[in-house]
Amino acid sequence: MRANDKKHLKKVLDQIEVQESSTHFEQRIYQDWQRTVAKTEKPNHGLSEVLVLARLHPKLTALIAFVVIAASILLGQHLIASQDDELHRIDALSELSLSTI
Amino acid sequence: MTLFPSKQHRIEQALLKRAVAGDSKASKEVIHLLSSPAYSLSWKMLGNKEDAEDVVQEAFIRLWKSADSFAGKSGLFTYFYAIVSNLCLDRIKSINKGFFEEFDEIEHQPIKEIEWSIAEGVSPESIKKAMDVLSSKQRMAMLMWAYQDMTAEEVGLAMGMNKNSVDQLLYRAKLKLKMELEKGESHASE
Repeated sequence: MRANDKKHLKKVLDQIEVQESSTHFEQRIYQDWQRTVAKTEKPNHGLSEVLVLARLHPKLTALIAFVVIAASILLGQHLIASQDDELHRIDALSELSLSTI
Repeated sequence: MTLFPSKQHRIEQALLKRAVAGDSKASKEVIHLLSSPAYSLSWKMLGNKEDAEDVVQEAFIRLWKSADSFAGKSGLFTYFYAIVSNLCLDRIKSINKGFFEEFDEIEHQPIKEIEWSIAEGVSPESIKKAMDVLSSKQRMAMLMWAYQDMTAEEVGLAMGMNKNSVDQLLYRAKLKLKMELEKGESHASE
């Protein structure tokens, strides 16, 4: 009964023609959004700007964090390895100097 | 309304959150999704372009500002229509200042089936006139229920009423509309 009622009424109400909205109506709403959101989200300093960006792009933030961590690990390994080489070289040099003495 | 948000409601909630966090793509999606049906509803409520556009613009500003209160327990449409409906009713009140608007009786009457025997060819003007005879609350409930295809529960959520009161409001609105349309029809045939 209610479904039929609804169908019938929808048919009746659809006959009232709606005047088209202005051409830039959605654009105006978008501008309002820019003003409203910019007012509440405007960062005060550089760090908050980074935080707002991070909140907006969580996937990109995770990727950047992963790349930074991986790069730090590789750099650390490289530094440790090069330090070992340096120690070996110093050892060899001191042995050589001792043998010459 | 359910206790926990459904999947669709969670998607809408996430979309609105992104829009409010400053994501312009999400905001455009929300605007595109809601603006046109909300404009049609407001236009049918208020009857002119300027008022309808003003109401929808104001409703969006309220939506951005109150996005945190949208918990996803109802759909985004229902949440937004609640804002639009309040703004439309406020505007009608301010336009009709000083004029008496029919009070929607609260006593409950048994809801009976309504026989629709109105001919197909009722003119849009007669329909508009008949709609104008309804009280603003009846008109709003009728438009949300029949034109926007919302359920009585959703209409209740949007208008801050329980389902029984919405059913009563709709029943009285339908009776009145039917009577007005039949009156219009008999005038036309005379």
